[in-house]
Parts: sequence; structure tokens; C-alpha cells
Amino acid sequence: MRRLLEILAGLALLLLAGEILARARQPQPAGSPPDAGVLDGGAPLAGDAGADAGLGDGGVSADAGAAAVAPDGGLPVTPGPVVAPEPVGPRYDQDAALPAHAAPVASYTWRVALDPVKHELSGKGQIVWKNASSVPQRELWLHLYLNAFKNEGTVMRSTPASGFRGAQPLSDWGWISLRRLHARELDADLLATADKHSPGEPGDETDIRVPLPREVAPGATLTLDVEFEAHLPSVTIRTGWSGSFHMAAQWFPKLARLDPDGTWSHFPFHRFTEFSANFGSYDVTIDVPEAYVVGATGHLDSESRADGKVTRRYLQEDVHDFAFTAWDRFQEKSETMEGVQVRCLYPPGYDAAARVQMDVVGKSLVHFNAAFGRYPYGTLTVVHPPDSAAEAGGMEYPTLITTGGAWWAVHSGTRSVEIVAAHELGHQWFYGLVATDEMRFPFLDEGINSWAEVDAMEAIFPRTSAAGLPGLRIGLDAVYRGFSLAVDRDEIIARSAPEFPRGVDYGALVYARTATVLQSLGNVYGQAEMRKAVGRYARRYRFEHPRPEHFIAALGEVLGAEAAAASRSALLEGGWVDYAVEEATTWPGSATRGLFGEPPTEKVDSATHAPWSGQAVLRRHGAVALPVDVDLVGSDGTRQRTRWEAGEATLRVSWSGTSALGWVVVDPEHRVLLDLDLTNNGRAVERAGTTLRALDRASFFAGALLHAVMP
Amino acid sequence: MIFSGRELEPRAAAQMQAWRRPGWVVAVWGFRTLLALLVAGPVAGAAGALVSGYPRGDAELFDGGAVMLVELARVAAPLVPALTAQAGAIFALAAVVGLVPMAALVVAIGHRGPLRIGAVLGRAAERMGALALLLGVALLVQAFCLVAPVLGAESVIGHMGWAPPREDVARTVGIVVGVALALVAGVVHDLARVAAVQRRLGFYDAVAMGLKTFGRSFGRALGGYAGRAALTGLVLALGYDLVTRLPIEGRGTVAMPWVLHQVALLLAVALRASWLAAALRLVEARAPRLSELDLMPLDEADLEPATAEELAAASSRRPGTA
Repeated sequence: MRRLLEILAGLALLLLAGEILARARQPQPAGSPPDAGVLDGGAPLAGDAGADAGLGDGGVSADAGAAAVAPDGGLPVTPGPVVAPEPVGPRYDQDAALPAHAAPVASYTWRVALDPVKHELSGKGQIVWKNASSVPQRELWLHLYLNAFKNEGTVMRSTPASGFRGAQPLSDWGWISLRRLHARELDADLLATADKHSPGEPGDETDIRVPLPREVAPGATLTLDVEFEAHLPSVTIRTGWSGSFHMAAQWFPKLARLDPDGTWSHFPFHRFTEFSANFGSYDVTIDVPEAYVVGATGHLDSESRADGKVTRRYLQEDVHDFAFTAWDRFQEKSETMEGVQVRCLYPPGYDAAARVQMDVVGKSLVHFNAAFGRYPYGTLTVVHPPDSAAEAGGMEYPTLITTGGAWWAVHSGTRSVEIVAAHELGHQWFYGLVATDEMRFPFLDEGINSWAEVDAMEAIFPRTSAAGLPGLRIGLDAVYRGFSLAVDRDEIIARSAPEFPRGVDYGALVYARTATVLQSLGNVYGQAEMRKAVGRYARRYRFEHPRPEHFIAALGEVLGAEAAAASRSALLEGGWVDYAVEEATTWPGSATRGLFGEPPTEKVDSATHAPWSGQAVLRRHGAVALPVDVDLVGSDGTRQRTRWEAGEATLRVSWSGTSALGWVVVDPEHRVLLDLDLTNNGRAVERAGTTLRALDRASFFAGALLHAVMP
Repeated sequence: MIFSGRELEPRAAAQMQAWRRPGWVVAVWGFRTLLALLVAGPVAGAAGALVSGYPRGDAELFDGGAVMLVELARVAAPLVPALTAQAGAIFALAAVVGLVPMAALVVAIGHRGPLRIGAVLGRAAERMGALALLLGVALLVQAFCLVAPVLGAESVIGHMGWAPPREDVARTVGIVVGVALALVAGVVHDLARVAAVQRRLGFYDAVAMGLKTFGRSFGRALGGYAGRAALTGLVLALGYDLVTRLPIEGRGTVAMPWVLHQVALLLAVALRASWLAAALRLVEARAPRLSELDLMPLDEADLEPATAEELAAASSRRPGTA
């Protein structure tokens, strides 16, 4: 009876799982049942196109099962299992496969005036939005990001996020207030009915639901006439003002991203959360006082001066955000690199830093173009904020990046300025062109981009990508490895941004551990192959919104199933690895030593045969299995190398040589940077390796210090 | 008695040169090397324990990219406070105990003929009280010299509302001025030290003589000190740089760096000795006559209880002093 019940229960579970999978895979028909959207009797807004397959702004997600926004609109949860995506294929190893343009979903036309004395923006314009999902929409979700800085009760300001940027007190609050929100096609004023607060967060006004009087059918377009007033905060996390410097980021009312399955990817603005939006075109005209230099997303289309004001119009298509900066003290350098007009805006006295950044951006452009597909825009603006506005630095927007660093840092032998420039440029691909969801899967942009940054920096500054000082050559991969181990080994990387309890968890896992995982894969399978895998992913999903499965599938296609399994374990499941030499022994003689024959009269002397034998036991702790080399080194320096595929957790290797087994080393070139502990990778059998070099260096430094303190 | 300076005979000022006492220079270097090994031993031991399982040993720490060096920093991080405290204690102790070899070096340079170690050390130990007091006061003065200009620069920066790079330049100027003032205090300190040892003066008299000497020949004093200090920096930097250019592995790659480093440190000690000799010459040649300072040099009798005749002789030279 019990056995029968078990069988029935198993069958029921199988049926249920099949049903769930079938529902997840089945595209929703274009134009849902009328009762899905029409609540107040109005005619639904007709669509002009059905949904097509894919992940782009005009398509249906192949893995809708990964939707992660909580039903109550609250903070997101870790994504669930997903369906394997379609193969990408070698076609995407070449730029010929790149799409020319993104499908526009949310396009913005703004006329905005900046008052640099009051730090206020007043803007009006239109948002043209297309319901690119397969589901009729009865509501919009609008992000009013600047309200995150309105008071201490917002999600941004009230959520503990120690160890992360943006923690300093504000001397001036920031806010944005809608003055008009009118839907043309619906002929409806939406402002009156819009929610005032983020769902479930009465103190927050960054995530606003805007009910629609009638549904907007899939493929239909809605034009919103918008007017708003905004006040920039004193400079804080990525935005704000300091003196006359202004960084206008997240400054306008912005539609949340609508996924192809009809789900809005909306969220209250959290300290760790960055941004995610649909692609579109931006047409932004900015008024500032004449003395102000402006840097903005897109290319300058026109400029006119009147009444002490300068009006500049910027245009850019195929992007999903727009930021600008204005300062009356900016210095400027510009140069055409790789067909891109690169412009650097920087404070007085930072000429050397600007030169270095232009150089790194130029070299990184070459590297990223070759690896991940050509940069499709005509301009790139690099903004180095003044020291007092350092919090505005280190951020990416389409065709505009902000950098940072002290003016003297470029003379110090460390690469901090170069690293930031390469990192932010890399975001033009991993965030800009491959527009992953930065809130749900921050590792997909920050993590992959950190690896891309290491890859570019290592190409430019081999083995000195973090610092190139006399006698001290530090690679960025080593630094990221060290930082990645600042948190527990089994912490999961693939979490949504708000799920990280501390800034150090977010930084160590999202940035450093992801980069370390990918760098390890590159070291093991070849950096060129790794670049090819990530390049295939980047080209295939340009102008789209891929998810973790798409990335891992691309890795698997190029590097193999073993690499895909390792990356899945390390990125999605908290997998880790520690290779260790558990035991190593050696003894004289071998099976050839002794008496042989019957009767045993044949005496074999070990001196004429392999006189030394030995054995080592190696262990792979943790779930991540990556192949490694194992070196058995004789006391006379002879070396035997063995490949350990590491599929099994324990390996026993034998030594037979002309000298005693001296040392055993697993992964001698430190290819698997993910390895938790490198100090147990080597074991001396009898004689330990010398430590006299360390003693010499340490005593020299101590002697020099003594010279300073002793009479 | 063992520690006696009775037989020491002062050398003519012009002949007070460090190169005449190479043995004492080497001895001071040896003393410092021992102290350096005391500081470096636990650090190197900790590093060695973590990489000794590798056949290349600590050569792993010097590879390009620094994977193992960063690993060492990460794994050994919990030891850093303890190692720093230990090194700090040794440095603090060295600053005080080191007064003896420094004073011995001054005695050796300042006196002629073959010297008995006991006699030299005896003379050196005799002035420890004054030297320690000089050290403490000099440290306070130097700290003030360092901090005051820096605070002044910060005040100006705040008042003027300067931003980088002007802010950084102003701060750097403050630091440079502070360091320069501290070095001037250090030069006076050295002049007072050698005066205390050579002329066997107490704290106040030594300070007075140091200041007077500096006042009369500050150009030569500063030049002599700064030139040798710059040369010392150069020698140490060269020692470091040369070693970084050597291969990490291969024949002689353990011994050669050690030799180069120690030669650099030995030269640094020699330059220090050279400066002390120069300070001695300045004190002897440029210092005011004792009568000008109303001083009386301590004589050999101070090492032992004064006899009645000695007391009488002293009283006859300077009434009221015994």
C-alpha cells in the first residue's frame, strides 16, 4: 500500500512539473482575453504587432520562469530554475551577425533647463512607449529615482547597506515631482490616479504604479506628455551637485522595464540596485548658463546661444538611459579612436589623469571591439568629476561614463585610474549593449564586466594590471581573488541586489568572485576561448536582456559542458573548490628490488632500477570541478606532470624516479584562482622550500626602517 | 675597571673621520643587522610556513602578478597586528638601546689611537642619561615641527576652500616644511649628541652647545647632513632596485640579493658615521669656547668618585661647582 502511494505521488509530481514547464514555454497569444485588461469599460488600445520569439524588447522571453519580482511588488527574490536557452552558434563569433539597431520600446524627448544655483531641473516632453510584451497592460510603472534622496525614510536611505557607496549624510535633499502626466491615445490625465508611494514602502516614492483607464494591447503605442520639476541632491551615490558641478543622473521620470512576458521589472531604488530599462531613442535638449560645459549621452546635434544661456540638443538611438553633466570649470580633451569621438571632461590640474584615461579608453576600445563586438555609437564621453564630487564617479551610462581618482594617482605606479576607466568602458557592453537586469542579476553586468576589465587591463599591462612598482608587480586578477574570499565560500553570487546584506558581500561576490570564476575558466581553458565564449554571448544578446542561463549556455557552447557545469555551480549555486595535497610520501626501492624467481635466486638491486618510489594523495574539496595539473618533483629537480580532470574528489598519484620525491604541487601555475586556499596546494616531503629570500627582503626593509628610527 | 674611559685621548678635530674607524662602523652595522633580523624573522617565518610546501619555496612570492603574495597577505592578515606590535616594540627599544652603539661610534671617531672596547663602551654608557633625555625632547620637538605646518596647511586649505590639485599641493608643502623643520631639529639633536659624548656634557649644556654650533655653522651643518641623507636614500633605493632586477631563481639568487642589500645598509651606516664625524668636527672647530657657555667639561674623574684633590681643583676653576 505504501509503495503504491509513493508511485502515485511520484506520478502526480511528474504531471505537475510537466504542466509548469509547458506553461512556462508556451508563448502568450498576442491580444489576451478582453477581461484580462478592460476594467472600466473603455476600448482597449489596439496593437500593431504580435510578439515574436527572443529576449529583446520586442519579443517573448524563452525563460519566463526566471521572473523574480515578488507578486506584491516588494523587493525581489532569488530567481528560480530556468529553461535552457536556444544555442547561440558560431555565427555570433563575428560582427557580421550583430543587429544594426535595437527595437525601440521606450523613447524620450525632453526639453530640460538646469538652474545651477538652485540645483534644479525643470523639464517637459514626451515618452513614447510601446507595449512590446505579449500581454495587454492596464498599468505603467514609473521610476522617480531622485525621490530616493528626498528624506531618510526612503528605501535608499533607510536600508542598512554598510560598506557601500552613498552612505554619507546629505547636505541637500533631492527629489522629483511630476507636474503633468497625460496619455494622448487614451486622452487621460494619469497623474491624479497614479500611486504616491512605492508598493509596500510608504516612505518611498521611487517606484510608482500608474493605472491606465484602458488596457494597452500588445504592440500598441502610448504617448505620454510629461512635465516635471526635479532637485538634485548634494552629490551622493552617482548623482547630485557639488559647488557648481552637476551630475544629472536618474534625473527624469523613467518607465520601468517591461519584459516580453508582460512582467514589469520595477523596484524601489535600493543602495545596491542599479538600473534596467527598455531600449529606445533619446532626444534631449538641455539649457544651461553659457559658461557651463556640458557632457551628455549621445551626439551633439545642435547648439545655440541666447540671453546668457546655451541650448544644446543631444540625440541617441538604441540606448536605455540618458545622463548629463554640467560644470563651469571642466577642461576638455577629445580624440577620435576606433571611429568613435572620445571626449574627456576633467577638473583643472588633472591633465595627466585625463591623458592616461584617454589612452586606456583607446586601448580598451580596441580590445572590447575585437572581443565583444564593435561599439555601435559615434561618441563616448568620459567624465572625471572633481574631488569633491567623487561619489558621482565610477558609473556608467550609455555613451557616457564617469571615472575618478586623485590627480597624483597616475604617477604612483598603481593603476586605480586606469582600472576605473577600463571598467566603466566595459559597461558599454555589459549593461549598455547587453542590457541585463542589474537589479535581479547584478553579477551579469558588474561581474562579467569585472572580468572584461581584468582581461583588458592584463592585455594592456601584463602581470602589472593592478600595480607596476619596482619589485612589486601585482595583477588585478590576484587582487580580485583576494577580495572574493572576503566572504564565506558558499555564498551564492547570483542573487538580486537587495538580497546582499552588506556592501562587502555585494562587492566581493558580484564583482570579485564572478571575475575570479571567469578568470579561472580562462586560465584553464584558454583566455582566447573564454573571450570567444563571452563574445558570442555579447554579440548574440546585443540590444537584448539575457539572463544567467544564456550566459552559462554560451560558456558551455565554446568551453564545453564541464566548464558550463563548473560556472553554474560557482555562479548560481554557491559552489567552491579547494585543491589540496593531503599526503605525500617517498621510499627507496620499488617492486624491482628484492629476490625474484623460483627458487628466489635472482637478486635485483634498486641502484640499477628506479631506486625511489613515492605516492601522493590529492583532494578536491567543494563542488566546482576544474581540471588541473599535478607536479611531482624529485629532490634532484626532476619533474613529472600529471593532468587531473578533477571529476573525482580524490586522486592518488605514484612517483617513480631516480631521486626521492621532494614535493607535490597541484595546480602549480595557479590557474584555478577560485581555489580557496593556495597554501595547501604544495607539500614538501622532506625538505621545505627555501624562505631565505623572504628573510632577506624583510630584513632589508627592517634595516632601512631602523636607519630612520635609530640614532 | 672594565668600563673606563681614562685612557681615551681626544683626536684633533680635523682628523675626526669615520673612515679611520671602519671596525666600529661595521660593528654598528652588525648590531643593526641583528635587530633587523629580530624584526624580520617572524615575518619571514610566517611567509615561509605558507609557501614552504612549494619546491620553489618563497620564489612563489615574487612571481609577476603576485597571486601568492596576495594570498600570503590574505592568509597572514590575522598575524599582522601581532607582528606589527612586535616590530614596533623592537623599533622603540632600538631607538633607546641604539644610543650606546651610536655614542660608541662617536667616541671611537673622536679619539685617537688603539681603543679598548671596554673603554669606548664605558665612555658611551656614561652619557646615556643625557642622550636619552635628548632623544625624548628631540622627538617631542620633531613631532611638533611635523604637525604644526601640516595643521597650518589644513587650516589654510579650509579657509581658502581649495580643491585638488591645489589642496594636495598645499598639503604637500605643509608636509615638506614639517619634514624640513624636523630635519633641522634632528641636525641640532645630532650636534648636541656628539657634544654630550665628546665633551661629556649634561643635557642642558649639550643642547646649548648644539644650538650654538648650529647657529655658527648652520650652512655646513645642514649641507653636511642633507647631502649624506640624500646619499643614504639613494644607496638604499639602489640596493632595493638592483635586487629587483636580479632573477628570482637560479644560481646565487639567494646569496646575491642578501649581499647587495647588506652592502647598501652598510654604506648607509657608513654615511651616518660620516655625518657624526662631521658633526664632531663642527662641534670641536666651531663650537664656542667653554667659557662662553659658562660650562665645565666633565673629566675622567666623573667615572669614579672624585678625590678631595679633584674636588678642590674643580672648585678653584669654577667656584660653586663640585
